[in-house]
Amino acid sequence: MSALSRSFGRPGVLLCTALVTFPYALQRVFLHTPIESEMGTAQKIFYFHLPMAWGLMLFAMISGVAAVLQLLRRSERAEDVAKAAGEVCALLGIGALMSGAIWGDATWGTPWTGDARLVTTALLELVFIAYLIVAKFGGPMAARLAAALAVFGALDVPIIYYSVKIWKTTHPKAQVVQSLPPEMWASLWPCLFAILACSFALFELRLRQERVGRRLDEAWLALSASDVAPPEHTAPSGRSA
Amino acid sequence: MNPTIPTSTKTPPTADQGAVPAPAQAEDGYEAVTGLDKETVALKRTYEAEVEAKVASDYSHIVWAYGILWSLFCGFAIVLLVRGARQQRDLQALRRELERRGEQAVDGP
Amino acid sequence: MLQNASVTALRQTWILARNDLRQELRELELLITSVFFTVVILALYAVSFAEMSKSAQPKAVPGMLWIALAFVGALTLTRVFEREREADTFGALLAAPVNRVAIYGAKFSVTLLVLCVCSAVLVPGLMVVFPSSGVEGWSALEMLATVLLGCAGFAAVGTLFAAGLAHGGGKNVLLSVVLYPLTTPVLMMSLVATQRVLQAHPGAWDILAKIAAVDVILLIVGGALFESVLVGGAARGSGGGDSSRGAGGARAPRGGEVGPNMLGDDSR
Repeated sequence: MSALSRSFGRPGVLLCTALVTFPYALQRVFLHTPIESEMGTAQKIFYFHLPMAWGLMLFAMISGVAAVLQLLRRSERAEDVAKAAGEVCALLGIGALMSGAIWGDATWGTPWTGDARLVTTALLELVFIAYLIVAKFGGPMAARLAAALAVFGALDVPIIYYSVKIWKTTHPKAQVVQSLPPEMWASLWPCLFAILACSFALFELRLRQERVGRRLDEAWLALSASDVAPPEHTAPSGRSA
Repeated sequence: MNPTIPTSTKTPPTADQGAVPAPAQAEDGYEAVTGLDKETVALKRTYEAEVEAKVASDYSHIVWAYGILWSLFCGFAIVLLVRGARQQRDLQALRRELERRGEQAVDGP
Repeated sequence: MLQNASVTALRQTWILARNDLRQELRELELLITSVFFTVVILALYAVSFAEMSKSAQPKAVPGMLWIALAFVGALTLTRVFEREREADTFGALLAAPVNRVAIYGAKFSVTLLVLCVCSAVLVPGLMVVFPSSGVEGWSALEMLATVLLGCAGFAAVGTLFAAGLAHGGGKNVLLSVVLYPLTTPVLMMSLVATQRVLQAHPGAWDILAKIAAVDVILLIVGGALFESVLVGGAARGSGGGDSSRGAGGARAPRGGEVGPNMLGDDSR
């Protein structure tokens, strides 16, 4: 029970904030923001697509930095952070890619182009999916290998971006975002806030689970180390890996 | 629907339609409708249909995009819930095991 | 002091690489398998794309080259470390008083060498099978540099992860999962460079310099991470960091952490 009640701390607050902000953001986006002149109504996807993409970058960086700390300081806490951030990163990446594909289908007439940002995001997403796969199935070295992968993933962001820039670019450039009319900015902020609050809430929940799992493992190990372990103890400790 | 549809590119409506019924107007009070020749109406309808299709397609795209985004979040939350429940069970098992051992320790010596 | 250390590391790299090469020259196992695999891929390309139009060849052939090298690279990397695992020598190597960067460097050099030999088969082979892939008089020197730099970037990332996977439980399936997303940037840049070389584009050296810069970054990061990835839990006493609360710690036994059996005899 204690684990459950503990999980209603900051994540609960964050989730509630997101739940309140989301309807507000929606009504701002649909009722108080002018329709973009070139792309039409479909541009409203942008208000949740951009926060997702930004969140992806943010959590990729968090995961990369935590992985560096994990490797250099051998810190378990950093490992948990890296893992949780990696999962949220993969989630946001899928969201950004899918919403981007739908938006592209509506405005460019094609869900996918060989554009630099698209390829960068897709590769980053692949790196973090690989990260999750290695962390889960990597065997005894999984934690450290996955950490190295996350480090390379975070490091790869600029390199990937640079290397795919050679292709043609149809994606709105960063200047477009900067030159958004103020009404659109005003609607973007609540959306960004809702998405990030929700992501951080999920991130913290995941982090707590990771920590609780670690404690549970330690407890089971201590228990089985205290005497000859009966066979039934191996089941739960293997399960929650 | 939209009163500002440009009709200026058309030939003036009075030239072909408006000119013919004009004499009849004086006889029985019938007033010809000007400015809505068939071509303009057809053009307007096509234009409206195009806009309607675009808006409908945009809306369906928006619904899909928003639906996928939030179902992703919900899916992840469900995964977290399942994991949490599993940890709860694990914790309960640990508790029971500890209690069992405690009883054994009391009974044992 | 620092210079001394780097000279020692370089010397150790050379000794370790020479050892590997000497062993390789005795059996030629790695080279034969890799080159044969290259030839097989080449044959598959020749069969699959026999009807390719002349105008499509300049775009397609660089892609074929780098996809083939990526496949051969994964095969080579797996094999380089599998040999160590079979003989159970990798643990001994890590426990030996050798600079870990030297181990990384040695394995990197061997992989790079094998990849270069494979390219020496692959590039002429592709030119024969797809004769209109390049303009007249493209520079062989530029092509050599492209292949060398591209393979170096691939091997720099690959050596780290292949070593980690081989040293642990050895799930080599995961190597491809890890390797391809991470090496795509280098492969992409090499692809563009190859296209430029084949078209005798004046900007070829420009992009080659950029690949070289990325290679240096990848090599530095790979070398820096090599020790912490491989030795982190196995020999916790060595290396920096607070080893008192090691990551292996309480969790180690359930993951089947690397045990003393990894530090087996050096069978060489």
